[in-house]
Amino acid sequence: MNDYKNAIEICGVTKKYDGFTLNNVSFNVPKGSIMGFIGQNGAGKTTTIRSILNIISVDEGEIKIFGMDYIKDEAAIKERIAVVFDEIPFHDSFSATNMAKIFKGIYENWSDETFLNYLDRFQLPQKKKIGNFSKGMKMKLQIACALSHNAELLVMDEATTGLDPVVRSEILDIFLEYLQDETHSILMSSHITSDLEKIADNVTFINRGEILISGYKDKILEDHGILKCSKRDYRDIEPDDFISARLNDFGAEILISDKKAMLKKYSGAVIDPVTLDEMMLYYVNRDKKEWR
Amino acid sequence: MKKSLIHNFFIAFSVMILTWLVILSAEIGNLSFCRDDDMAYNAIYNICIFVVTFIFAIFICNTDVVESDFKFGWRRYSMCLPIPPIKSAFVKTIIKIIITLTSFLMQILNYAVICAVSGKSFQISYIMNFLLIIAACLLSDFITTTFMLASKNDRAINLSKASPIVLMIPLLIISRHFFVDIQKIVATFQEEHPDMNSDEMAMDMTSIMLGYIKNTLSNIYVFIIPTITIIFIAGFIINAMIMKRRDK
Repeated sequence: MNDYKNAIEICGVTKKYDGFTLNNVSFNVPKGSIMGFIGQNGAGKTTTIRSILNIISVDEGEIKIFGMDYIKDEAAIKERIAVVFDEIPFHDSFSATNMAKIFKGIYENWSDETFLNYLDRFQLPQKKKIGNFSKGMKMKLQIACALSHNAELLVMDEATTGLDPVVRSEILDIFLEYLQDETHSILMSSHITSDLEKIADNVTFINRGEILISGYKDKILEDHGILKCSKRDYRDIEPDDFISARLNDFGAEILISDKKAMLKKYSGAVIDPVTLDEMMLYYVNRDKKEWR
Repeated sequence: MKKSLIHNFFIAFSVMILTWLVILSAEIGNLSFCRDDDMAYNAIYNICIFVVTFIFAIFICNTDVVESDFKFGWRRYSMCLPIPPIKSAFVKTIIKIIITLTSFLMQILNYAVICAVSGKSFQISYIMNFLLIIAACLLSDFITTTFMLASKNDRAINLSKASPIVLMIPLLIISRHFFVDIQKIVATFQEEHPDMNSDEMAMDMTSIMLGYIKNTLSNIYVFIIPTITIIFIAGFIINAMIMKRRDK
């Protein structure tokens, strides 16, 4: 196996559709980390992930996985990655046992023992048809299949969407265990930011096909904050110093991206911590600058 | 799919056994009165052969697998698997060849048993007719599968099921040629036999037309094996190209 620093490196990826463009997307997923890829519905998360997996072709840009070119070394890369989609792609008439046989013939490192352990842990029946599984069971089966061939990179596209909090928590614990091995990495797209706040090391925020922020989650949350002030004080704040402001009858709540600089410039300002959810809301409205 | 295939094969095998019982009944059972009427006996004989032939030929068509792959998202998921497109296309072609050969062998088995029971001789023209039916099924399946693999949504998948209708174009051209020949034969026969009554004319015309059809088919036989071979090769190439293609 080759040595690499970043599990995924995307540089300048552009993909044009009618009415939507993925524009110059660049970010890295460091080895041994979880990257939370967040954005609204239609922001470009799935398009980016499909580009990484070479499901769709890109117009421009470079993608490397494990330091290798994602097209030239496609077969070698795909032996080492696992993919989980929001909808289970397995035929309804198959059972977990059938899927194990199929994947055993596909992946060199497939482990029946690991797969059966996951089935046991998730309490999934071996012989029942997948068509009779609940949504949560289907997702658990897909994850069990993904984690049973010693993949180094797990790519998930909205894998926890539509699941109840109990199942989501169970799945997130599995991912944390998966990352105990420092050679394992995860790229996880979601619009459920609370999940990513729990487990992600890094976060990339995409909006309308463009990357707005990418970096360490804790640093991003530390740098950003919500400044609360009166409307009069709000007028004194320069527009370039904040991302967007939410106005109400009592005052303004402003998202700022550099807490230290703001405290220096506007002494006495009250800056509250911000969640990823709130950040997403404010960034989405940054063009308007002021919103309610 | 495996269970459904075995299930359908079991039904087809049961129908085959049933036809053997029918021909046996025509020999020594309740249908043995047919032996006195050549036409009736030949009809039973041919029905027993060709019903089973068509049933086993249907096994060759597997467009429901392609449709299921699209419906469940397996086709997109399979792009994330470490399977080279050439290997995938090769395996699919081999499976198709095995299913085709199995169907063909079952058709021959059925024909051999019916010949043995009825005491009729084994004729190569029947084998060629089985291959002709197989070639037609393979061609129809190839056209439908190609359109389905190229489809990007449910609507396109559903429309592609009607794609074998393109085969109607050459068939219409051939049948026009066929009917023109038949008209000439009828006209010549009527000129040569002006005093024949209508019943006798109908019987003789039927024999002549059957002879014409047999003669026409025997001219096609030489193209059957090359056609089947080309269909398998084309199927392999199309599968590999589509597996390699990326969504735009």
